[in-house]
Amino acid sequence: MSAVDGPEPPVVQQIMVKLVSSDNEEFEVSMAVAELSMLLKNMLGDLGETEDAIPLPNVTGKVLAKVIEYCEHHQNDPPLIMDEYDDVPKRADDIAPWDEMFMKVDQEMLFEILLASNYMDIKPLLDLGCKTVANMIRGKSAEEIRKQFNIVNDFTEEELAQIKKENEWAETN
Amino acid sequence: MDMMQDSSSEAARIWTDLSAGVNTILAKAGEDIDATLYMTLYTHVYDFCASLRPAMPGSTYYTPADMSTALYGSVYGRQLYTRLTDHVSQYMGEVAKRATAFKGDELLTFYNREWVRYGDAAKMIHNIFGYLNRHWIQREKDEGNNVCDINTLMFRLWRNQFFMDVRGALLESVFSLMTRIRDGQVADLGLVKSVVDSFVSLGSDDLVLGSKKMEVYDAYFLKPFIEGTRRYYQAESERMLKEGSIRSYMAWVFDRIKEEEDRAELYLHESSLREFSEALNKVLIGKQREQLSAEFHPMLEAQEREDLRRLYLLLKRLGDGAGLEPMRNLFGAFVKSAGLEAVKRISSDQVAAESLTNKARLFVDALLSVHDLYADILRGSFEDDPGFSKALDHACKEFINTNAVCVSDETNAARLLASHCDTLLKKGNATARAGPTGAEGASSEDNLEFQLSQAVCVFRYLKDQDMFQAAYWRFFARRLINEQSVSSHGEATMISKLKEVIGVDFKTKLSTMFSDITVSKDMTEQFREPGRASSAGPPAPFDIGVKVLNTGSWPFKAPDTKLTLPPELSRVVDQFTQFYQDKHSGRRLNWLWQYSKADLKVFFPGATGAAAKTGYVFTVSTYQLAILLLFNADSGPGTGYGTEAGPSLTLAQIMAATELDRDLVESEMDVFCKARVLTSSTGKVSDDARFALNGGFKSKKLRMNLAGLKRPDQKREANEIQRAVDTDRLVKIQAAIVRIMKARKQLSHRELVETTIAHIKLFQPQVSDIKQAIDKLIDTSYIERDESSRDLYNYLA
Repeated sequence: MSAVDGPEPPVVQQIMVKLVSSDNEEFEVSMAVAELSMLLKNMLGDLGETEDAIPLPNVTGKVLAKVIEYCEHHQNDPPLIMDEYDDVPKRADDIAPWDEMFMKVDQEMLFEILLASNYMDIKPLLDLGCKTVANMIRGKSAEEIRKQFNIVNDFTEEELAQIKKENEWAETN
Repeated sequence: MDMMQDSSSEAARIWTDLSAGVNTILAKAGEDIDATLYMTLYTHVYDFCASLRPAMPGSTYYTPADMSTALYGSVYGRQLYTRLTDHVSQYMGEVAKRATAFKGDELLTFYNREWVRYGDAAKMIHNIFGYLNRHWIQREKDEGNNVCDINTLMFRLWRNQFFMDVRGALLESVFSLMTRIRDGQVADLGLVKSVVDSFVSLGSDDLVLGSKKMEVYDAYFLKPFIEGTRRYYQAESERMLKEGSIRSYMAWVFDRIKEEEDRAELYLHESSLREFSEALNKVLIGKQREQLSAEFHPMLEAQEREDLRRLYLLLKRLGDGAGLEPMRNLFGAFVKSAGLEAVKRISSDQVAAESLTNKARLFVDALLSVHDLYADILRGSFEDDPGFSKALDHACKEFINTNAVCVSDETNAARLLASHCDTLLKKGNATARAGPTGAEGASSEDNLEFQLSQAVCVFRYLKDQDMFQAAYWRFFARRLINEQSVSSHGEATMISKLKEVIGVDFKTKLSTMFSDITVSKDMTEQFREPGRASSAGPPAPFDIGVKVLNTGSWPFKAPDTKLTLPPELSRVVDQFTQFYQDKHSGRRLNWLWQYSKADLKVFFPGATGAAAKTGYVFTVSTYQLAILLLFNADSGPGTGYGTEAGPSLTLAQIMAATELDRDLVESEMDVFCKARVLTSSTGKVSDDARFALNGGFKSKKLRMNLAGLKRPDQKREANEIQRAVDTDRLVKIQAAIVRIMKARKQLSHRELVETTIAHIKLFQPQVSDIKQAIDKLIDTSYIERDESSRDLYNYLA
């Protein structure tokens, strides 16, 4: 026994939550990670802690894995204060390096992440997705954008002419 | 992503599932909901809003749902919102129907149970409809449409579909329960508390911006509840007043209000406690104010402190104006008349009439007894209320300064108090110091300290504080030069007490006097040292004590008569003068013979026994000394020297030898003859008489004080003080005016007079004196009248 012995450092009991994807893939994450999703946070608040697996019928395992990766990386971020968050004008050029790397995925995955973050109510991830899309559009012509996102041009010739005329002021600038 | 071929049937299918889930939640407050069902319901809401689209021909290409929900989501969001509204409305209708089966406490119990469960359910439904909240509802709200989040919607439905139906019955049940409690029966206040909380939570009547948050509570609970309470206590107070006295009513009200307020904290919203208390005050105190106030005077008269305290606390509740102000005025008037009465008793008191000392002591005791009594009541019954305290101070000021005793310059309050202090601090007045309240066993020093504090307490109320200073100064000076102080500690104590109330100037003056005495004592000792070389001859054949006083600090004037000192004394005085000037060259000594004394040993030729052996010792003034030494057998002018009986002298001879004024000589001769030390050939003091030593003088006492036989003339001294104070006041007023004008530069006459009065604290300046001072200052060009307006004064730098 020595006087300098402090109390044992408290063992942090990580409460784990089981998530199940639409294709029945099961993930175990800590409560802190799960609660980045407002959906899961509210649900855990309403029902109390549960050992039951929580189904996420709108998210596939592949996408859920990606979302969890994001949440694990960001689990110690300071909590968002919604009122302030909404008031600040958003910029698309302030993406952190890790987030930028994280978003280097194919287009389908990108849209799946967007859908999942909206469904699971993970606001920072939804914003990150939107910024990524915005950066993809930046500086491109309509035709290039159509090409990039695989969008069919369904305007008629007359309609195109009309639009071009209406937007002349922007082009000449 | 192919959901669009039959979206309306898909919507119906989802809704069936969703509404069943909502029912489960409402019925059980979510107890049976597990994670799977929860997520299913959430996903249903999501799908309903995000994935359904109306069949639109031609739209076959891939579009991310999130990016195009604005259009479709709008349709389905509204649909979902409406469906939920209808569904919950229906549920509320059923609850309302079930409620009709209950009344009284049972209704309260039913309502509370439903309320708690509904609250939990509403929160969960709100979260399950999270997607709707976040998107469609948020957009509608942003556009200013009358749509609210699901939680609010739920409470709105509770209020409109259930609460508005049941509120009358609820209020009735609350009243019946409260009446039972008020009548002393046991009932569950918790039921009321829960219902009241629900009224608060239901918030405002409408979601219109700017509507009050507590509107439902205020309108449907608080107002009727307070009105009901008022009616209840109106009846109760009428009954109490009919059955009992106003005193018992007062005690009853006191207890009831406390009870009600303690209870109100348990069930009312904190924001309405004040309004509730005010309603109680109005019905229980305000209506009976006159009756209650009428008790004040008899209570004061009988010193019923507990009742006074109750009455004070009750009337205080009506506020300063309506409740306390009249009571304060009554209190002040009462104290004043009690004070005047107490002082009046002294004016006809025998002991007081005996001497000014007695009068002063009894006067101060009377003032203090009244002051202390009501100060004690102020503390015990009126919680040291500042307003009452002010009324007390004001009353004391009035009766202390203007009363049946203070009718002349000699007996004004300031002088009497100074005289009382003199008695306290003078040797040989132990009884006075013990005081009427002198605690047994307390040391005399403690008693003195207490009495001095009491005197300072009276001082604070003096109108003429400068008058006290002037008188105190004179008494103090006399105590010092006559070595009559009870102790220097006592003097120092009083000086420091006075410093607190008068200020440092006066204290400095007294301290200087104090140190004059100490320095003089040392100096006299040095002078008397046997070995001291003296150029002026051999040391004095008698003891001498000299006090050297700073001219400006003492209230003494040079003697108004000339005096030729007896040669024996003259020589020693010259020696001392030399001694002093060796120490302090350039200072001039003025000898104040009128204040000095000598002990004179006298041997009468006819004396026998002890008187013949040791002689008599007379304490005499220097003037008396000068006269008596003329009658020595072996020296002096006139006839009869060298005879055993000594010389016999006429008044003229005495005056010539001593250079003393005739008045003085006459009065001293009168003293000597009365004491039978000298005899007059005519039996009286007259020009044709010859005076000689009474050879056969006999007295049982070997020691006699002839100097003390002539008391200082009180009236003359009072006049002197008055004159000194008047002069001093004019100077002070002028100084104040100059200070004020220097700061303000220009003032109207009225402003200047008012400011001056406010500026001077030691006394109350008369307007006529201020006018006189202004004229004087105009003459001496400190200020001038403004050229454009005669009413304005300008400061001249």
